[in-house]
Amino acid sequence: MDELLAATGICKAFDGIPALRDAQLRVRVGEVHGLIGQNGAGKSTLIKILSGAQLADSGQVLLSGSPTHFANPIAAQAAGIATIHQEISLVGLRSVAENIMLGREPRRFGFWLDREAMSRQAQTLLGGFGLTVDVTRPLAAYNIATQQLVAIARAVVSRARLVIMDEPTSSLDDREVETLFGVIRRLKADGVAVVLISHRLDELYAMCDRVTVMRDGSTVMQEALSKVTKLQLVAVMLGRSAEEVAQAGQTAFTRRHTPSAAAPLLQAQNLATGTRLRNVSLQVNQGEIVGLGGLLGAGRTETARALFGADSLISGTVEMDGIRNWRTPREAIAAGIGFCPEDRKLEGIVADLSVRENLTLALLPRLARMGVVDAAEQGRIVDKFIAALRIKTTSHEQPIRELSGGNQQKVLLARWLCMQPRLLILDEPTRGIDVGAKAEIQRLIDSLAREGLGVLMISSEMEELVEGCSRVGVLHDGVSVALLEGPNLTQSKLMSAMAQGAA
Amino acid sequence: MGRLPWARAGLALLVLILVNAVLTSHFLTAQTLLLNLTQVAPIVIVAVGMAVVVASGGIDLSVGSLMAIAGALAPLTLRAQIGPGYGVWIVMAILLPMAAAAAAGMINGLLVTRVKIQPIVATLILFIAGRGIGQVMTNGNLQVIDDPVLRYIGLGRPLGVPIQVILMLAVVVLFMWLLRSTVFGRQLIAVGGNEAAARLCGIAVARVKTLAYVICGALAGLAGLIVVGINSSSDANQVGLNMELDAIAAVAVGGTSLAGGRVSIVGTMIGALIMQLIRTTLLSWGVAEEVALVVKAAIIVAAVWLQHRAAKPQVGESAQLTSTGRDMAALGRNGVMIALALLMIFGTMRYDGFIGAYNLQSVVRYNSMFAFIALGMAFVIISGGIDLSVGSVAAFSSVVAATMSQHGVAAGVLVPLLCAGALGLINGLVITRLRIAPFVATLAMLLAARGLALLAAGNVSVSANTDNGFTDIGQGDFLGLPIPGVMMVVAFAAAWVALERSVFGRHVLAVGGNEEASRLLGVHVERTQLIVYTVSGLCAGVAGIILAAQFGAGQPTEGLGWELSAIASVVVGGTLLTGGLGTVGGTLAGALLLGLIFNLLNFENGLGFISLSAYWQSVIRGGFLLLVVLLQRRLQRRRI
Repeated sequence: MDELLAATGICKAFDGIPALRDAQLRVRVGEVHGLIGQNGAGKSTLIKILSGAQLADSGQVLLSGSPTHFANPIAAQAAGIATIHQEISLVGLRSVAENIMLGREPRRFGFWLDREAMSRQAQTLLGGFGLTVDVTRPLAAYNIATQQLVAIARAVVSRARLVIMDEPTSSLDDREVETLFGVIRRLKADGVAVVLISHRLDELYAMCDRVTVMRDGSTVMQEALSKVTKLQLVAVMLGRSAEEVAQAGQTAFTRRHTPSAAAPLLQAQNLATGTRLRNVSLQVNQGEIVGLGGLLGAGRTETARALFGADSLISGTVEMDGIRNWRTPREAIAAGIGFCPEDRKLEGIVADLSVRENLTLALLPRLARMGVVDAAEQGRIVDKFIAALRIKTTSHEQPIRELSGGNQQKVLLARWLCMQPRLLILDEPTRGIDVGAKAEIQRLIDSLAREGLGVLMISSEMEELVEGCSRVGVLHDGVSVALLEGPNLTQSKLMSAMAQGAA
Repeated sequence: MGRLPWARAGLALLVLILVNAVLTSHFLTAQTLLLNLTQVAPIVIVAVGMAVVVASGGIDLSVGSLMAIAGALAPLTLRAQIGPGYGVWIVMAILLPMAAAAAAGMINGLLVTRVKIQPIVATLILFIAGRGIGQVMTNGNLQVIDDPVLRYIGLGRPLGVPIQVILMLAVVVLFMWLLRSTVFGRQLIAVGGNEAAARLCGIAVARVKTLAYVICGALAGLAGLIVVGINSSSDANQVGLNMELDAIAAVAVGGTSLAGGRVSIVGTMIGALIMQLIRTTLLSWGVAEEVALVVKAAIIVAAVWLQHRAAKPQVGESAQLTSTGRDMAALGRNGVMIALALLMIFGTMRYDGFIGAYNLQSVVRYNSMFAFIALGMAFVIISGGIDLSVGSVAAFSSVVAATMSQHGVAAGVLVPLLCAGALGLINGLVITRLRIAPFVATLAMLLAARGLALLAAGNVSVSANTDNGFTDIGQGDFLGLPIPGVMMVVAFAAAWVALERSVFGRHVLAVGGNEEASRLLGVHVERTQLIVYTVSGLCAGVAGIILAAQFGAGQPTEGLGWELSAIASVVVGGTLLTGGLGTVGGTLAGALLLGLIFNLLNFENGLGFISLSAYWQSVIRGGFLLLVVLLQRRLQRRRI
C-alpha cells in the first residue's frame, strides 16, 4: 500500500524536558488512522510538529516518499496537511465564511476579495455536511460543534491529502459525532487520509483502519485495529500486561468507601450561572473525595468556579458549616475552601514570582501585622511545606516557572494547605504531570482526605474518578445527571453516564 | 547576570559616570552632580508612581496632566486665602493639589477596574482633559509664585542638599520598602503577574489596582509642586509636558517589564538617571538636543530588547467577546454617526453660517490631516497593535516636505512619503523581528522621529516653496472643494476597499482578532503587521505634507499628542482597541466629530453669551471620549 506520511525518529524537548523520544507515525493513503495514548504521551506535540506549529529537534518526515520539513503552518498546509487542533484555533470575531477561507480566499486581480464566491463556497461546503448556518455571521455566534465542523471544512477546501483531528469528538453529542463521522467517511472515499486522536476506544474501532499507540513520548505500537482487542490497547497505552490492567487499578489512590458517619461539609443545591451551569447539585462530606465527571464543556470547571465564588450564581445555594452563599473567592477562602484551577499557567502560578511568594499568596493577609509581612514567619511556613510535600526546588527563592509541572502543582496545593482549609476543590490536579509525580500527588490527595479534608476532584481520567473517589457526580450540558457510588461506580457506567446524559 | 533586575542598568550607569568623569570637564564637581540630580528628581518621583502602575499590569498616560493640575492648584489655593491664618493655608496649598491628583488617579483606577476600560484609553481621557482643566483654572496664564514655602519645595537646600533630591530619595526608599515588605506590595506584583491567579487567591484585585493609580496620581501631584517650586511660577501649558514618556522610558530602561508583574524601584531611579546623564553628556560634548532624542529612543529599544521578554499572550477582549461581534461594531459606528448628526443639527439650529459651505469646507480642510493620522492608526489598532509615533513622524514629514518643495512639487510629495513610510517600516521590523511590544517600539520611534525632525529643520520651522504650487496641496481647491478634503475622501475610499473588500483587509482583521490562530490558519502574520505599520507611517507622512502645505512651512515641533487624539478618534469610531473589529467609516466619523466639537466651540464663543476659552476644548474632548467609551462598554455588556 502507498505510504502517504512516514514520520520517524521524531524528538522534541521543552526546556530540556523531553516530550517526544523517537516518535513514529506512518499513515497510508486513504486510511483512517487512530492515534492514542494517555495525557502527556506526546500526541499533541507530534501533531504540532506535523502541522508546522512547532519544529522537531530531530527526526525525518517523508511525505509521499520525499523528505519534507515544515518551518511554519503555511508550509505544512501547502504540502497538503490540514490540522484541526483540540482547542479550536479560529478567529471568533470573523464570519464563518472568512474562517473557512482564511489564507486561501477567492480573489480577483490578485487582491480583490470575491465575497460572493467566498460565501457561496462556504455555504455549499457546510451544506454538504448537513449544516445550515448563515456563513456571514461571526463564528463565535455558533456552538462548539459547528465551530469544529467549520475547522474541518477548512481542511476540505484546502484539498488536503492528510487531515489530522485532535480529539474532535470530545465536546460533541452523539448526533454531532455522527455528522462528523459522515464527513470523515466522505474524506476517506475521496482518498484523503485522516489521523484521528481520541480517548474513546469505541469510536476508534468504529472508524479506524489502523492505530498507533504512544507512551511517554515514544511510539510503542502500530497495528491494524482488527488484530488487537480493547484490553490489549489499554495495556499497551499504560505499559502494563493485560492481566494487570484487568485486575489492578492504575492510580495511586487506595480504593475508599464513604465514611459512614461522616458529617456533611459542603452542600450545593441547584446551582446555575449565566453561562453554562443550569442545574447542578452536589454534596461533599468530611474526609471524602467526591469526583466530578463529564465531557469537555459539560460544566465541570464552571461548577468548581461557582463553588469557589469565582463565577457568580444566578440561582442556587451553597452552604458549608452554617456559612452560606459566599460570593467571592475571598469569602470562599474565609469559609475554609481552597481551589486549584485546571490551567496552572493561566490561573494558578504567578510565573515570575518565587516559590515562597507563590506558596504564601493567599496567606499574606494572615502573615501581616499592620499590613507589613512577617518575613521570618513566612520563611518558616514555606520551608515546612517544601519539606512536607517534598517539593523539588533549589531554594524557596527560585522562580516557580523553573519548576517541573508536578512540583508547581505541589506548590499550589501547599498554597491552600497552609491556610488549613476544610475543603479543597481540585480541577484536573494531575493533568500534564509526569507519571511519577502524578502518583505522588494522588497519594497526597488520598492522605489529606484520610486526615479529614473534604475534596472535590474534577478529572478527565476515568481511573482517577473510579479508583480515587467514593462518589462521582456526572454533569451533562450543565446539569447534574447522575451520582455513581458503590458498585455502580465503574468505568463503563461512568462513560455511558457522561456520554448519554443518563445513568 | 545576577538576580537583581537592575544590575544591567546599574552597570550602564556606572560606565556612563566613569566615561563622563574622564571625558567631561567639571563633571565630578558637586555642582554638576547636584544639578543633574535636581533635574532628574521630578522624573524619578513620577517614574516611581508609573512603576507601581506598570507593576500592576497597567499604564498611566495622564501623569503629566495631573502635574499641571497640581501645579495650577497650589497658587490658586493660596490666593483663595480667607479666614484662618497663613499656616493653615500653606498646608492646604500643599495637600490639596496632591489630594486632587490622587483623586484624579482614583478616577483612572475606577475606570480601569470597575468600568473595565483598558488602561491606555482610561488614562488617555485625563491626559486630554487634565491639562485643559489646569488651563481653565488658571485661564492659561502663567502664575508667579512668591510664597516662600512653595518656593522652598523647589529651591530649598537643607544642609546644602537640594530638597527635591531629598524628596526623591525619600520616595524611592519608601516605595522600595512598601513593595518588598507590605501585603499591598506583594499583592500588587501578583496582580500584575497573573491577575486570574491573584483573584483566585482571594486578593481584592480591583482595590489593589485602584490604589496603584491613586499612588501614581499623588506622586505626580508632588512632582508638579516641585516643578512649580523650581520655576517659581506655574504654567499649566508647560508643567509636566511629555512627562508620561520620560517616566515610561525610565521604568523600561530600569528593567521593569512593561507587561507587568515585575518591578524595580531602584532600577527605575537608575533608568531616569541614565536618560538624564546621556542627555547632559551629549549636550556637554556639543551634540545637539535633537540627536539626543534619537539616542534616547535607541536606548529604550535596546533596553527592552535586552530584557528578552517575549510579550505575554494577551487574554483580551476577544476571548470574552463571544457573540454578535459584528453587530456590536455596527452599533459603535451607528453611535458615532448619530452623535455626528446630532451635533450637525444642533449647530445648524443654533448658529448662523454653521452649515454654510465656507464653514464646512474649512472644518474639512483643517481636520483632514488628523483624519489621515486616524486612518493609519485604525489599521494598526484593528491589527491588534498601537502606533504612538504618528505625531512626530508627521512633524518630520512636514519638515522634509517643506525642504524638498524647493525642488518641485513631486519631490515635496514623494520624498517625505518615502521617509515616513521607511520610519513606519522600521516600527514594523522592530515589532516583528525583535519582538518588542508595539507600545514600546513606537514610543521609541516617537522620540527618534522628533529628533530627526528637529535635526532636519535645524530647530526652526522651514519655509516651503510658495510659488510652485506646493502649498496648494493644503490651501487650494479642486472643483471648488478643498484639496486636502478631496485627498481624505479618496484615501478613506481606498482604505474602505482595502479593509472590507481585499484579502489583505481580512488578514488584518484576523490577525487582530486572534494572532495565534491566524498563524496556524496560514496567514502571513508578520508580513501583515509590517504592511500595517508602514501604512500608518505613510498616512502620517501625508498628514505632514498637508501640514507643511497648509502653513507654508515645515513644523518640527508640531504633532504633539496627535497620536492620542488619533487613538481617541479611532475608539470613538467604534473600533475595538484590542483589535479584530473596526471600520474605516467609523474612524472618519470619529475624526470629524472631534474636529467639529472645536468648531462648535468657536461658534459658541462667537455668540458672545459665554466666553469659553480654547482650553475648554480639551476638557470637553476628554469628557466626550469618556462618554463614548462608557457607552461602548454598556453596549458590549448588554450584548454578551
